[in-house]
Amino acid sequence: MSGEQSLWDGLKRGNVQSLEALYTQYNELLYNYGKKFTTDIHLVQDAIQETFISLWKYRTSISADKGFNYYLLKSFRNQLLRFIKERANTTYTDETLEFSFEVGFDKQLIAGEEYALLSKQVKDALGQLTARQREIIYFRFFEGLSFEEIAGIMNMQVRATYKLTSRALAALKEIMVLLFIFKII
Amino acid sequence: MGHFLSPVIFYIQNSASNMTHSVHNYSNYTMHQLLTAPYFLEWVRFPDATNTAFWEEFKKTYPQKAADVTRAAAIAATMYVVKEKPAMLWENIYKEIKPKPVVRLNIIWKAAAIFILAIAATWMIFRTNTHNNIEIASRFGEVKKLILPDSSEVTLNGNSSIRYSKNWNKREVWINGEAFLNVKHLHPDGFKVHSDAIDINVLGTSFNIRSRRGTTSVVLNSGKVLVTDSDKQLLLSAPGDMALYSKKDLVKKQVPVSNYTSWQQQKLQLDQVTVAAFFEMLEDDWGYNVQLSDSSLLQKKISGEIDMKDKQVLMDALAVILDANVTQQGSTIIVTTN
Repeated sequence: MSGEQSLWDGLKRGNVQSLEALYTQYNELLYNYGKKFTTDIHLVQDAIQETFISLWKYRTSISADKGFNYYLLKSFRNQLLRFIKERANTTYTDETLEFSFEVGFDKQLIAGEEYALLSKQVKDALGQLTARQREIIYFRFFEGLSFEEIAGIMNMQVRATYKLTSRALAALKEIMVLLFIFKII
Repeated sequence: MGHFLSPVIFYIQNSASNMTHSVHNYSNYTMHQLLTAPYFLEWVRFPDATNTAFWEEFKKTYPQKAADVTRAAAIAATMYVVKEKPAMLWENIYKEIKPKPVVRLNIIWKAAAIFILAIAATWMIFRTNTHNNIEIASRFGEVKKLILPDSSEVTLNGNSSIRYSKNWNKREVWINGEAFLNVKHLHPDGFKVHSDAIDINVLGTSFNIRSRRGTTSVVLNSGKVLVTDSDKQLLLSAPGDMALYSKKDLVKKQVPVSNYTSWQQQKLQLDQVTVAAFFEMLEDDWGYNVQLSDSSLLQKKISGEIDMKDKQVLMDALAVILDANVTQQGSTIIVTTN
């Protein structure tokens, strides 16, 4: 039995220390993910707090058979987007959501001007995508989630993830080609 | 967006349909381009038999690119998203979930408790029936809009409330805190607003009222209102007319209206406001508690517009205005001078 499984079991039995351990373990993951949607860190902290409070409240009826990572990311995402929606006080759709992040590389392997150039290229390429496309890329390449998990967390059908991702990836490729052409001209 | 959706077919599934995806697609790729090619990243991050075979074949077909592939793969493996270490706020969660002390009662006490509760409930029902008031309140930091039975509009600032009789036989409301009223359909019998020590007879449309810490201000936006305290009456008839009740005295002033009404857009327009008064606003309307290391700051006057929608923007603005370090812990704002 994994350590996490025993924390989860402890939580189900009503052990507060198990909840605290899960919080300690997941706070950083959720925080860094949440920060991609908004610059308001208090909103992100509030959403994390609410996620763990409801995790406690509904501990007996929760089923985490798809993994704890998955379960927490999904309920945190719902909570945070609810807060963002409440605060924006406008009709919100997925299209109005923000999602942005910055990519870094090991400076030992790639240095100086080349580093700056590459960073800029990646930034530009990501900037051309929609927020949802960036979110998929973030989950896939940087959090290592499967397409099934990504679809579940983002409330999409699996087929849609494939479609959106291949479209996202196609778009990314297109952009790189465009950048390449511009450079030659 | 159109050209990005052009029919470039790019498969990342390990399906049989990847025949359109050939190694020749990448023949012109530079090392940099490989680094942002999703299928390349997919291989570096999640190598499997299919994608490994694909990139091996690419190296074999274009041996002059083999070194680029190796280097790009090494760099891609180090790609990361910049992370931050968040604050640990377990205490806040624990406060919400900690077990409440269980009160054990024996059967006689239980019976007694039920009896008392029944009496209390009867009394409450009776009481609310005679008074029959509606009270609507806003939370800290919340701007709440509501419509009265005569379709007049009220906007409540944070931590404020309005009370009126349920049957609305008199057009009369009681305000605590701050509100902007837009009174519709004027009747000869008027519309009355009560607050703390003053009463307002509304003779025309819209105005702002703020009542905090024993001071009440009424600022006219349009129309006419008559403000009365225990021994004086002031008629406000021009936009920007203000009646200020403070220290048992009622005086009239002229002010820029928007400074007193911008809170409805969750913005504060400050015009030569002391830091002390601004902090009082943060406490009264937003529920913040400000801790200050250097009290000489309090007399400083500030002007400008602050957007209150984003807490982080507010903290940053405070730091700039006060030229100090500003940190937030829960609802406490700590200001330390540099």
